[in-house]
Amino acid sequence: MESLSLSYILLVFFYITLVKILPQRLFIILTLIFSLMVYSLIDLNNIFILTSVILINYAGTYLLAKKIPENRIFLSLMIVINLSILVLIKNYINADVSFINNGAHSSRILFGMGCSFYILQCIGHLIDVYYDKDEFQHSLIKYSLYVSFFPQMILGPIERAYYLFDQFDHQKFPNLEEFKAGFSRMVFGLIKKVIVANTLLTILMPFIEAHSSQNSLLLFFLLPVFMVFLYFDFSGNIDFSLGVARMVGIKLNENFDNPLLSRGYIEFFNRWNISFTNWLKDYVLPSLIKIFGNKQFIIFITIGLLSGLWHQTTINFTIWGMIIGFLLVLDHYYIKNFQSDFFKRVLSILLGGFTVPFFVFSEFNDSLALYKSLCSNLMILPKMEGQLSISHGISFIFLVLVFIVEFRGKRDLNEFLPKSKVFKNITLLIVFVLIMVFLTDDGQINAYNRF
Amino acid sequence: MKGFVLKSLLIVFSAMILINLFADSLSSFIKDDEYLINQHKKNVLNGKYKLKFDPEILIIGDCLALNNFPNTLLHEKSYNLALPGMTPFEAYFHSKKFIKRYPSVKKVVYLVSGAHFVEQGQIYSMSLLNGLLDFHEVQQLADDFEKYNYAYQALDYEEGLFYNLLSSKSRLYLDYLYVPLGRTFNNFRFFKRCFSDNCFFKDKRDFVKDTINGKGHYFYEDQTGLVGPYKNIKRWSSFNPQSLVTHYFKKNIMFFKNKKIEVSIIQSPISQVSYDSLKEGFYSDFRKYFENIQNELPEVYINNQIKVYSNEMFSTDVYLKQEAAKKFVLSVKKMMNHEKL
Repeated sequence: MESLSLSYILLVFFYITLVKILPQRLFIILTLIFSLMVYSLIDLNNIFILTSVILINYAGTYLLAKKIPENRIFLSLMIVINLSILVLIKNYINADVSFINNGAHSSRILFGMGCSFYILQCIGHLIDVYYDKDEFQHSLIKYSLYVSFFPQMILGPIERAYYLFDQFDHQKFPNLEEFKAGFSRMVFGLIKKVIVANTLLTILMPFIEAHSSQNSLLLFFLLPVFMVFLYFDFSGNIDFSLGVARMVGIKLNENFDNPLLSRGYIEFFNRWNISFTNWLKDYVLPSLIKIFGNKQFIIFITIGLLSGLWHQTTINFTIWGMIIGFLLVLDHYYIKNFQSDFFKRVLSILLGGFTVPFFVFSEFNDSLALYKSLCSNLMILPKMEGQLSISHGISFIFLVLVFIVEFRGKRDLNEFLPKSKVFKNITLLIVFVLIMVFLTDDGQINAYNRF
Repeated sequence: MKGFVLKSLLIVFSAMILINLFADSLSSFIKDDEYLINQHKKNVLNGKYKLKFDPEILIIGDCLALNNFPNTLLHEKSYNLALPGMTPFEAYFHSKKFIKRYPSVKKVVYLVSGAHFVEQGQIYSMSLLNGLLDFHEVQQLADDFEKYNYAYQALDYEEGLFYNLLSSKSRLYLDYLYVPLGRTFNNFRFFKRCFSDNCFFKDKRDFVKDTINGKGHYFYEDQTGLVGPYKNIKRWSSFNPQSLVTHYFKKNIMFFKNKKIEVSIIQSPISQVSYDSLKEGFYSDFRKYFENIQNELPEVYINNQIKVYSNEMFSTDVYLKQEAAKKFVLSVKKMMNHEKL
């Protein structure tokens, strides 16, 4: 089973129905069972890695809360253990997983899916308990649910323990307005992911795969479009998760704040995958400042590097991270001084697009070849790869609609709908038909599942 | 809350009904060639479409027989009943229905391909979803699966975690409960394909006309060229069919024998690259298997040589180009004349 497949969505609705009909006191245990079930349906082996992470970190947090004298060393040890698990999964078990691998899109990682997100949650909680910013959670069941809460386990957002524990304790099935808002957000996410992102990928991939015979300027234009795809893919999944959680009375934090409208790369970095950026700011940045003082250049490079390594510990992501670091530096010292907001917005997307070759390929040489095509194919005439279809037209209409809605600061299906009741229902019917039809696409890929 | 949930469900169900209505009423635009050919042959089997001749030779097999065997070159009065995914189970039931309707059949050419013997015999999901097998036939199959201690499985969802706990009969009933939903999902897929390939504007009734003119034979349209060995061939470690598959295969032959119909069993050609990918031992197991059947049923003509054609003769990993298919049929014709079959 893949996340955001038809069977996954049916399971989600089954879960929401159970939450509604079963007594409130069963919410935690029901959600935990459901989360473990969903994760094991993705790949049965996942359950072993997830339960190991839960048990190791539960025990670690317990010992940290006891304030043993060697606490600092023990905290370091726990962080090393967690990071080792992460590196082990990414570097050895899923080492070959890339967006393009041997000429085919392959982002289907099933084993250890989402480990980057939930392991960071565990590390964050360990540090919070060590610094007395949070308390040890005595209930293993609640702690397990914090790590494995299924709407956000696979792609985030990375949540703080106290924020979720408090909500688990006081969970109440939402009122109609809240429920509708959650549902609306969920459908909005489906539109972004299933109708827009998946179709956009079918346009982009043939161009990227055939880059050596494609015009440089066209490629230069398409790489930022790839950023648009990544945004719709990732944020569509997040909208779905936020919607599902809200439908059962849990509020998760926003993970995107219109990053494609950022004025500069630092702003882009802060508005993309917000929970991860905040995690770096809260748990890594203070140490970096302590070590490097006001040597901002090194701090930016290190932050970029760490975010690259968080994605994957490969040469490509190391370089990708370094480039991100340099772009942060560039923005901090130069771009932010430009007067025109429009110029800064365009530049931040272009710079984002510039990093794509290292993001999509697993091999350094493949990425390099794409950069070479960007520079050397100026004289080659642009040519169409594949044919334009009705799906592309539908996808484009929704892409524009989503942009308009998000530009107005909303993330809601209702913003699409006409005011008249009849037209509203007809539009809803069309949207549902399209979602169901596009969901049957067998080649669905979540670009961030591999992290 | 109740009102909102009911309204949402109503919209979802309306959407599903709408898609089904569209797909079924405009099936020649929305559905694919395979579906339309399936439906045509279903009509032949249940008598809704009557052949305009009395067939003397019947060809059975899977999609390879459908594509690779332009049977009019073998005999003017032949009919190619081959269907995509036809396993020995389907072959048995469909042959029975066909012979009952057209007793003029004197010879049968059974084109076997390794796939449906090696990939542990389950019926093709489309046989159930498109109603090619009726409930009693599938029930008989489920009983036989239980008798032979195999797990009956016809639909993809059955690989689920809890499904393994169910008996063959329970699975069968679940399948039939699932059929309307399965058909709806298929219709979603057809729509998606139309959105991606712009095939809303293409009337596919010509495919059925081609099948009628070809007396059951049909060339697949989207042929992209041979790119490598047959995609599943690397999984085939040995040729060791389930005993139930063999049982149905023999039962089918015995059925023909009882009706005094001659049977020739011929291997569909495979490409050189697929042949080279076969694991050691597969070929000898294959020969041995058919030799055993030949010993048991000496009156049946069995050609147990794997026919290997050069890669250039293939338009996909398994389908022959038109000229190559003609060559194959003529070679079979020659062989049959030579063997006085």
